[in-house]
Amino acid sequence: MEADDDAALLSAHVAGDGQAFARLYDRYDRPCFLFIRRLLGRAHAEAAEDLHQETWIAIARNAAAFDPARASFRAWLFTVARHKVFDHFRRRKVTVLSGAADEAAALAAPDPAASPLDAVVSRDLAQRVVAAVEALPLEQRGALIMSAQGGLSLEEIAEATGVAVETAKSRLRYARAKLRALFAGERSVHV
Amino acid sequence: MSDPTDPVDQAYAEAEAMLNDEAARAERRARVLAAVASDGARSARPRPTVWRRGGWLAAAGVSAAALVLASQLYRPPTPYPAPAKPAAPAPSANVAKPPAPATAQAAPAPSVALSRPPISAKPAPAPGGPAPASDFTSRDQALAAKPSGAAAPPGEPPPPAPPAMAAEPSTSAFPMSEAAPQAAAAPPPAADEPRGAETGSGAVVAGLMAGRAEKSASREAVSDLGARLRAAAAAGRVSDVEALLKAGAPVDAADAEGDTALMMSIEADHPAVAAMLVQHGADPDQPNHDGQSARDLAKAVGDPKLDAALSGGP
Repeated sequence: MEADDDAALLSAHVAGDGQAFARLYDRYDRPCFLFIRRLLGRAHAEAAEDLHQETWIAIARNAAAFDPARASFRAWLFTVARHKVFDHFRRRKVTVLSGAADEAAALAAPDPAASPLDAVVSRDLAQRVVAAVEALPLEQRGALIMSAQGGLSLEEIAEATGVAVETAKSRLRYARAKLRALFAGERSVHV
Repeated sequence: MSDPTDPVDQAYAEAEAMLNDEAARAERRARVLAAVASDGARSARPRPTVWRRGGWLAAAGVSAAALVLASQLYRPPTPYPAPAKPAAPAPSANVAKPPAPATAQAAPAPSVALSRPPISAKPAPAPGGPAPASDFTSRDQALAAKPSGAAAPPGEPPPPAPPAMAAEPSTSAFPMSEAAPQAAAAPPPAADEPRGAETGSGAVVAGLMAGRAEKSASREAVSDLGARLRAAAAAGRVSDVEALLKAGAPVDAADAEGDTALMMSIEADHPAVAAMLVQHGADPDQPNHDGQSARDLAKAVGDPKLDAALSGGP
């Protein structure tokens, strides 16, 4: 079980195993960094490296206090990363605005059976998909990245964001619906 | 469970994979692990003694400042001299017997009083006129004129002591802090109570601390009620929401993301809860940190019952 491995690696780190933390880092470096980078968006992209580093330092410092019975390691990791991003926004006095897309229209759009979302085949399309993700409202964006990159369950996403499971579920649903609506019908153009 | 096989999730993961920069990742890995190791080594070093004592030093400083403040505010309950009768020549026999307080009937104010002019901008009395009774202020005179428990005439029972704070039923959901029992032992005097009734600087400090503790407990209780209201709203527990609102839960209290109980009831599609919150004054246009209001969320969910609830309907 991966979650058990995570907790075991963290315990080994606390016990002084120098390699355990590096292994844990390698496991979650990419999802954690992408989560921070995409939440920040382009305007604050330069802060991603620093916040990512601060996140892992916080994890290392508080490793002894981690209780696997209360939450999974990855839920804890994304909780810390999310707080770092929100602290950054607070320091910079950033008001987080919602995306321009109409949520009702996003949900009303048909779920395309075949779309470029089925297979990202070009760098240009990949950039557009990522840009569309960055345009999602912050919490929806976070939920999608935690699911798609971190593999977090709905319960873990709810835990990491401090909301009810239903709320996490609806955020994820809105995010997916918007992306589907945005890329509906593009398969014939790009594929 | 979220669905990791959702095509949107997969497409997004593929897009990120396509844009992945392995060189940057390796560089980042080296930097982060070095920073973590360096931080670990720093925190493993023993901290200087002065920092370990910092908390005690700060606490001692605050305590000293509080005592100085209290000693400035406190005036001991000294027996007040009889108010001076202006322009009335004192009989020589009366002047000679009790040691007269620093008053001078129909005489210029003493040099001590002149060297420290009064704070008020009143002009100094003319020589020969009624001189102020030294530092015996008019306020003290007024206070001295009021009967106090200590000055009760013999034979009469002393006035009942004010009820102790701890004996009063507390409306707070939290137990009183450690400062409260001190307040119960020495309640702060009422606003119109003379200063002479105070028992010492300890009573002043205890009163200040009790007031602060009560305010803090009250704030925490309100915050806790708000959090419980949001949880109940998200879970659709109508009876709990109603009970919390009756208990005084702030209806528009928001969490760290700015989400209110109304927003959570909308997102979880609980129109009955939403209607109840609106009837209790919840603001459907208050935005969260994403700039979304409850109305926006209801529009996204698309349940007509939610729209009706926000309009104040059933």
